[in-house]
Amino acid sequence: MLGQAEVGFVLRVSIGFILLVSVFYISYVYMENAEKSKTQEFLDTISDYAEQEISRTISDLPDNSTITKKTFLPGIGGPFSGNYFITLEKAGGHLEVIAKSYRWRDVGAIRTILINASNLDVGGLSSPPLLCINATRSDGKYSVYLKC
Amino acid sequence: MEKGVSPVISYVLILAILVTIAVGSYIWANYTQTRMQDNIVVSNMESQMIGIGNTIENVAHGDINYTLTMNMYFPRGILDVQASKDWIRFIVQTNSLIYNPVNTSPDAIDSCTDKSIIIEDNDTKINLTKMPFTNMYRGAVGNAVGERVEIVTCFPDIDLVTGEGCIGKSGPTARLVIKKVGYTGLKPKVMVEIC
Repeated sequence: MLGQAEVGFVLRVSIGFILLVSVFYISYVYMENAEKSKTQEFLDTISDYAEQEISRTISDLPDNSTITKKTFLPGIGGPFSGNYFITLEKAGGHLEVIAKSYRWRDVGAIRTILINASNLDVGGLSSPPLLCINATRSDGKYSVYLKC
Repeated sequence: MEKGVSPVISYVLILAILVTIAVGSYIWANYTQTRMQDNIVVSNMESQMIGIGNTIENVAHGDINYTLTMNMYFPRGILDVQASKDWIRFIVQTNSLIYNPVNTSPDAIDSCTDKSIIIEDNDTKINLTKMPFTNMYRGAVGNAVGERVEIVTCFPDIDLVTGEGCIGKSGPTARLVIKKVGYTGLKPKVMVEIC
């Protein structure tokens, strides 16, 4: 049988251990949320940049022509460099520029471009350091791809 | 044993009251801050939409092929040209109440005239009221938890057309290219591209 002193010791150690684990867990959740929040902020900036480059490329595109544009994405060498990718998708006839994180599935940013085209074909993926846009316009048909 | 509340319970009660006040203040401040940010986005966009109206009218009164470019900044929302209705539309989802929603009016129609005061956007079912001395209409659906705000600059005397290519985009930046391309009857025909 354990004496009162031993029971007290075991209880104190258990409570101390639970408190320690709780502190570590709370710190972990806090750090994770902070990192997610920073990643979200970064992806917002990246998607703004990519969307602007893509919409300007489409705007400057003469009929029956193709433009290939390569630009460096912001944040090269930074903490998030290499941890994300950009894709183009078509949704409801619109072009969507989507920046997603490799690490966090629920973190991403979407920007929309509305295009007046008889046919719109989009796709492709770009990842840092380059954003490669390949846009073609032919008789009202637009094709926009990200491909390096 | 002494009578009354023990010191430990007093400390716990005081601590609980302080924590409640702190949490309450945080929630209130957070809500107020969000609301203030929403107000800035919408009021800033109202000014820019009035600017778009003036620019398009300037182009419409110019020579054919007269072109102006306008750069805009709106952190959230989407801006597009609705050529069939001759209006430019901005829609944004807010986290608070910006405009008091207008009830459906029997006079509300899906386009604007020189005399219209209330119009209705059939796509969004939002009733929009005219801001005096401008050709800008504004309205919203929703409540204090969050509403969808719509601002429209309408041109009853101009035929708006879209070019091939971009006709709208989400924020934060947009470039409008506005060009006079001819006439539809007596109405000036203006092409608007939003890229």
